[in-house]
Amino acid sequence: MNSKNNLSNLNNISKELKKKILDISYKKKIHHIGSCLSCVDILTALYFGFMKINKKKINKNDRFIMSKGHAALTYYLMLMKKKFFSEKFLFKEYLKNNGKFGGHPDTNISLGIDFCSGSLGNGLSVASGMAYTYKKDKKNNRVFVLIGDGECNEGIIWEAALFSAHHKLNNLYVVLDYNKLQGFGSTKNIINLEPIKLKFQSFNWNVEVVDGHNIQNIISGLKKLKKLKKKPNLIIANTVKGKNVKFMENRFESHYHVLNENEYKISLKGLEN
Amino acid sequence: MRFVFVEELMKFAKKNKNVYLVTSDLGYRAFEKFAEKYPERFLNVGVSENNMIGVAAGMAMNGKKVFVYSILPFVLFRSLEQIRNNIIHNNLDVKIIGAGGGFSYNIQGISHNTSEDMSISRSLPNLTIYNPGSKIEAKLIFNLMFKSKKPCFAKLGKAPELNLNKKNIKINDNAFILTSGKDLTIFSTGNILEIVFNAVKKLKLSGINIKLISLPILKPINDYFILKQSSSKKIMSIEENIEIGGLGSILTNIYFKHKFNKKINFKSICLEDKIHNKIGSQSYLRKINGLDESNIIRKIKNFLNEKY
Repeated sequence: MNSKNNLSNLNNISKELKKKILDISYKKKIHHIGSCLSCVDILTALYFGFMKINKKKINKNDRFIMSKGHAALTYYLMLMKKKFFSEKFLFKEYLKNNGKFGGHPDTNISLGIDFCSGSLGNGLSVASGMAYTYKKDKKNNRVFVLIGDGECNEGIIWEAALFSAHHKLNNLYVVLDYNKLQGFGSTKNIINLEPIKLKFQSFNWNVEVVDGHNIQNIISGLKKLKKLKKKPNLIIANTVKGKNVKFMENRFESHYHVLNENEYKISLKGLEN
Repeated sequence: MRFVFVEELMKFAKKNKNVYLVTSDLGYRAFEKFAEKYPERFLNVGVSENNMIGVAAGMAMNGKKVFVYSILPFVLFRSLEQIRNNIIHNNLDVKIIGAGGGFSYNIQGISHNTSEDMSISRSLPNLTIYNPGSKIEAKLIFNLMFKSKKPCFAKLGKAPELNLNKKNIKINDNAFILTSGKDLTIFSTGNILEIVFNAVKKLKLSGINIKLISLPILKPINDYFILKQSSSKKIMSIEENIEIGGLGSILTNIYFKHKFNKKINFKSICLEDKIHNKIGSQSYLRKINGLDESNIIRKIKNFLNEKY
C-alpha cells in the first residue's frame, strides 16, 4: 500500500460500501446503521490493505472474527467485495427466511465467515485460541478481530486479553472500533473505559492509536505493530458512530434508527459530498 | 474418575497428536503426568472458564481435539453460552469434562455441588452426554469419547470399583445390565450407582430380585433398549439430579412417546426441585435427600408393596 493510487482505490471502496450500507439498510428497513458506518474504513483497511484473504487459498488465509456482530452488514459487504459471493447473492440471502446471512454473522468458511458472533466479547477469546494453535503449529496465519467499545464491558474480553498476552500471541491483531457510544449513550457515562490505551499496555499488549476513518493511518498503525514482536497487538481506532451521515454522526440513536425515504436521500447526498 | 480419565487420555494422546488438555487451573495432583509428558499439549488458561471454552473453540476450528476440564458447575453453568454458541453450534471437537456433579463436593456447598446438571446439559442439542457410575463405565465412555468428533460432555464423580461379577454384566447399547431379576427394574446413572448397587445386593439377600441397569450415556438414548428392558411390572429410576430433565423424565417421555401400553407402575427417586444449600458430607446430603442406601431400600420395599 505505497502508492497514492492504492490509497485512493481503498477510499473509493470504503465510499462505495458506505453507500451500499445506506441502500441495503433503507431497502431492508434495518437498524445498526451507525455501528456499520463506524467500522467501514477499518475493515476496508484490513481486507484491502493488510490481511491476506483469498477465496481460493482458505488454509493460507489470515482469519477474521467480527466480534461486534451487530455490524454484520459491513462485514458481509467486505466479503462480497473480496468476491466470496456476488452482490445479487447477498441481497437474495440477507435477512431472508432460510437465508445465509442473518442479522449477526454465522460461521460459513466458504463464504469467508470464519466464526459466528452476536453475543458480545466472545470473538476475542475464540481468536486467541486460533492464534495460539497457529503459533504452536508454527504457521504464519494471523488472526484479526474487530471489537466494539461497549463490548469491552464484558469480562471475557479481559480474560482473553490476559491469556493472549501471557502466551505472547503476536500473531493476534485486535482493532477496537472506538466510537465512544454504547447501548444507552456514551461509554464515558455508562462504563468508562479510559485510560484504555494504558489498560491494554499494562496487560502487555502493543498498542497503536489511529484515526479510524483515515485508511492510510490505520494501515500504517498495523504496519508499526507488525514490526514489534512478543505481544498481541491492539489498534485503538478513534471512530465516529454513523460516520458520513451528518444527522447520525456521534449519536447513539443511530444504533436503533431505521431510515425513512427523506433521510435516505439526505444521507446519500451527504455521502457524495 | 479423573485419574482414570488422565490415564486413558495419555494413551490416546500418544496416538493422536491433535489432542490437547486444557484446564481452568484445576486438576492439581491429577494432570501433572500429562503436563510432563506432553507439555506442548497441556494448557492452563488460568481461572477463566468462559475464556477456556472460547480458546478451545478457536483451537478446534484449527483442527485440534480439545479436552477442557473444570469443576462441573463452573464449566457447565458459567460457560453455558460459550458452550452453546461456540462449541455446539459449530459442531466442534471439544470434550467438556466436568468434575463432580451431585453431592460429590460434599461440604463445599452449593457453588460446587449440583442438582440440575443433567437437566441443563440434556437440553442442549448436538451434545453427547456421558455420566459414568464406575471405573469400568468410565473406561468405556472415554474410548467412545476419543472416537467421537462431536461435542461431548462428561460428568466425572468418584470412580467406585463396583464389586461386580464381570461374567454377569451384559453390555447392551452402551448400557450396563448389572444384576438380573423380575420383581423390579431399576434404571440408574452416574454417581449414585454404587449406592443403588449395594441396596440391590442387600435386597437380594431378603429374596427381592431386581434388574439393575446403569446408563452411562444420557444422550443419545436408545428408546427401544429402554422399552425392551422395561419388562417387569414395576419400574424405578434412581438419580442424583432433580426430576426436571433427569433420568425419570427421560424414561416417562419414552414410555409416552412410544405409547408403551404395558401395565407398568413407575416411580422416580430423585432430588427435590429446591435449593440444595445444606452443608454436610456426601453421605449426609444423600441421607437428608432420601438417597442413602437405607432410604433407597425403604423406598424400593414400599414401592413393591404398593398395589397397582
